[in-house]
Amino acid sequence: MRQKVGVIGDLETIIGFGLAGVGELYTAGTMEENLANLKKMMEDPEMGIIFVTASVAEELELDRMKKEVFPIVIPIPDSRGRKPKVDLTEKAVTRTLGTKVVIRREE
Amino acid sequence: MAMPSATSQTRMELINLRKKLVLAQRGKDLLQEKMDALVMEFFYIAREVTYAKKVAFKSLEEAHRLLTVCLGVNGTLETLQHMREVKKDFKVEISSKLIMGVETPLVTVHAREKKVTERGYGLYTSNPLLDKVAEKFEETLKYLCKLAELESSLLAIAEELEKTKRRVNALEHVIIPEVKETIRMIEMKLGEIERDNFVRLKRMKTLRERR
Repeated sequence: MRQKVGVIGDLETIIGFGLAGVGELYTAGTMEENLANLKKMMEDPEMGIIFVTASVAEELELDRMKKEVFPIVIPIPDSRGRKPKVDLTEKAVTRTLGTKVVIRREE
Repeated sequence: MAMPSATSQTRMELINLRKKLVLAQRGKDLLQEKMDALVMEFFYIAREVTYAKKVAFKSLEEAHRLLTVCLGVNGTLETLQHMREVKKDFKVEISSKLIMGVETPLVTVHAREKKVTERGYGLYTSNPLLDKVAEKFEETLKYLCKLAELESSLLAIAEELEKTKRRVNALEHVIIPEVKETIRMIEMKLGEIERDNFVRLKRMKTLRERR
């Protein structure tokens, strides 16, 4: 059963998610450490969602990684508000339609 | 293009090829219908993702702002210690559902509003600021889980869409024209044989009459 949630990120992000009750927390370190931590979490059969902050995600080239449907790995903005440079949604839309399309949803 | 020489040019082959053409065309139609359905689903989810992303990221930003204040007032090490004391009981339930045969995740968050005393850190050393931060991050986490579900659904559908598109294109631009061309060649060849025969009979007839 997949029900764990994991985070790799800077200290502030870790503290925040830890306060919310997330169990698997890894502070971002060198690239090798991040990669090892991510691999470890991805191999865990109980892991459901892994949040990775933008800078780490870019360093690891997360969007180019071949991945399965589970666990879900998604980039999130870090504590300084740095958003993922490559928006996965935008990329998917662009690839599918062949052109850049702005999708909006009325609230 | 077509390779008519590779197939034997017989009536039997012609019948088989005609069957194949019908099958290919029906397959193409079906795949195209699947593609249409996927595109509709794709746009629906894309719209949801954009909205969910906006909400989740905004909430996260606010949470971080609160956290910064909390870190400033309480101190980083103290907050870190409180974080370690929090009960790590945030759980999600992940199952999958099928959209047009594509496996997409379905995330259910099992979280209710927690009381201050239920979080696990000591009340004596903490203050309401910390409670607020924890509350905000709990809320944000719910949004982020929803976002994760939607975004990975979107990616899965996009991949399937691409695959289907490639298949439709292969059928439409390669297989169907190829079969059509081969059928044409065989028909021409058969016509040629028939004309050949006809002329031969005529000639036989004239030869016989002259005798």
